Amino acid sequence: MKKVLIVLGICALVACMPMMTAAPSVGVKNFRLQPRTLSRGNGTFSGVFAEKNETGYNVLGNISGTYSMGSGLFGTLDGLWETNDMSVSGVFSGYIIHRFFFGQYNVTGGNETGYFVGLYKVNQTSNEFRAISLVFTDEGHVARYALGTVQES
Amino acid sequence: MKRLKNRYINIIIIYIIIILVPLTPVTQGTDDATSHPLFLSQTLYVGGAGPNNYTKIQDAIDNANDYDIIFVYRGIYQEYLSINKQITLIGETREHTTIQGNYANNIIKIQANNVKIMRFTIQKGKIGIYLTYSSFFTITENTIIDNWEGIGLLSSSQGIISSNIIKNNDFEGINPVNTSQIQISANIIQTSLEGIFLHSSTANTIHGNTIKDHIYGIEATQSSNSNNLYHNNFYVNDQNAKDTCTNNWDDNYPSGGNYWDDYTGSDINGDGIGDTPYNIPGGTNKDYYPLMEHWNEPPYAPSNQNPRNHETGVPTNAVLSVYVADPMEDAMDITFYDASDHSVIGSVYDIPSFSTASVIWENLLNNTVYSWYTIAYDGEYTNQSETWFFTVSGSTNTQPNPPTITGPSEGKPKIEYTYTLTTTDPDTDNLSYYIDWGDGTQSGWLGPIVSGDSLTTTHTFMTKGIYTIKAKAKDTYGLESDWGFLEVTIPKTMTIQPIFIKIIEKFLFVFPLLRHLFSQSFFSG
Repeated sequence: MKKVLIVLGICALVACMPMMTAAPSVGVKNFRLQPRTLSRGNGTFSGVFAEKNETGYNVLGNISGTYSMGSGLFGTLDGLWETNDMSVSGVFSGYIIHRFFFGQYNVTGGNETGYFVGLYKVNQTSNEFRAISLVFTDEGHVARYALGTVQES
Repeated sequence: MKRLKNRYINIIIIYIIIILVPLTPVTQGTDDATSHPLFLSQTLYVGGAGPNNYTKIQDAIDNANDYDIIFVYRGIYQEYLSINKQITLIGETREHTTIQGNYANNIIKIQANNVKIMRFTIQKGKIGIYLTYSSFFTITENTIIDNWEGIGLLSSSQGIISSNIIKNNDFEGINPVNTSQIQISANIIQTSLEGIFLHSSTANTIHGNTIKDHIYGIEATQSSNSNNLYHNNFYVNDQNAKDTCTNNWDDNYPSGGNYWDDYTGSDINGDGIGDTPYNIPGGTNKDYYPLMEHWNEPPYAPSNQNPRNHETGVPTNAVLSVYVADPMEDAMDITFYDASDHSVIGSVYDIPSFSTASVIWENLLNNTVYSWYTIAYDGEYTNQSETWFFTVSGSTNTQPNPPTITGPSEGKPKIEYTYTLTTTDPDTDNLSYYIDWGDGTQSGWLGPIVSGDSLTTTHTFMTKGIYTIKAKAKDTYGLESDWGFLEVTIPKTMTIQPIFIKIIEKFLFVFPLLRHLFSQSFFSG
């Protein structure tokens, strides 16, 4: 009976262990600094995006989405964007390579699509992200800034 | 006839004066407003106790004329400033004269020539200082932190950005766009996405800066050509530089280029310059003379003086203190001088950058005005502070009362507890607090806060034991109180098998169900 209880106990412990945490997470790469990029795993992000003009930064709208980092270096992202007044929106998706990202966006209900490429960093303590990207449209390219938070799932 | 001739000469002289007066500021370039003797420049005061002082900086700006000086006393000013006239804005001390927002707008927006911004902490704005279509500006000795962007420049030229601490700004430390002929020197630019991001900006000089902890230390893009970048120190950036344009990344031999922490070349002849060029990623630019050791710049001028300038009622044994910082974060020797005869009051040695140095000036005479200054020395360079004044009065300074510490006297390891410290000063001086937690850790000086107000802080004891928390207070003259005490017992609380708990505690993150169950029982705080 005692052996059965021990076996049941071990089985219960193993059953409680989620699969994704069986592998260790990526550690700190430099003792002087917090890592600045997303670490392995899945998560969500949300925040705002802005342009910069003669008055400074002008918040254009909101972004939100999910990311999946298969390793510490490579991953994917998918998200939604919408303007402040929610009159225009769309989706975007792309790839993350270490501190860079690139991908494609579209506008809901229209034929407009474009591309973006940029760099980002994440504050591992506060879970805040900051990104600068160039967005390529039919008329040229513009700089866009984004900031918000990430949440590991 | 002679009388008529004299009359003509007088008319011509008056005419020349009338013509020259408005032209003078245009041709004076970056000169300070105080150096225009032909103008009746006035000084407006913000904060402080003067009867006609403004309470808001913007009100003073709105009521200022070109070439006026606005002096801002210590304090936190919740404002967004718009400057469209040629003024000088000076804070009393950079550490305690703060202009702060809540990220709703730019903290200081400038669209005028000959503007000088000096000695402020500028924080929590979209852009800390945004210069548009402005020339001949000077931005110096400011701390610009926690903004979306530190300093932005659009279509601006011929200005100086020097000796600023530009730190923890989200996107860029400095972002010149379509900007030319500005000098960016001796700044600490740290922890942003990009340290300096040059966009369509040409013929700027960037030298003597410490550029640290960015994704890109400096990036030059979109026809940002003919910029001169040398004598900068690049540390722990993901990529120290990226340049897709054509720029000069050194100052020739033997002056040298920049210090790169990832340079792997050698220096066989020992001239301090690497034998092989440092390649700048992004294009074909090279630093042909990379420095083997970091470039040194003089310490910043000592600041945040105590007693405050023109303070009265200073005791006969005056504690003099200054805040010192060095762009290379070198330790410094600080010497305090009597400005009346330049004799040495005292010296302190090996003071770390970003800390306070103090000495006591003893046996001063009542009802006497004293003047003093300090010199910081980093082993190679010196920098002298301004000269400050104070008046000794008949009153004597009294030490603050010992602090009362309130908070939990029992607890558990690894749980954060809140403690409150309170005391008063007989002279109602502001008070700083120092806490020795009894576990080998100390708080450093916290504050200052108003006498009688409470200071709340938190602490976590990591292991079980009986700890004696000690706290003392210090007034603005540096006179310390006796210690106040509180004993805290952190008992052993686990009653079940410790080894099992240790395993569970260590690997609890992989057992969410158990974590949930345990958090309801013996792991709850």
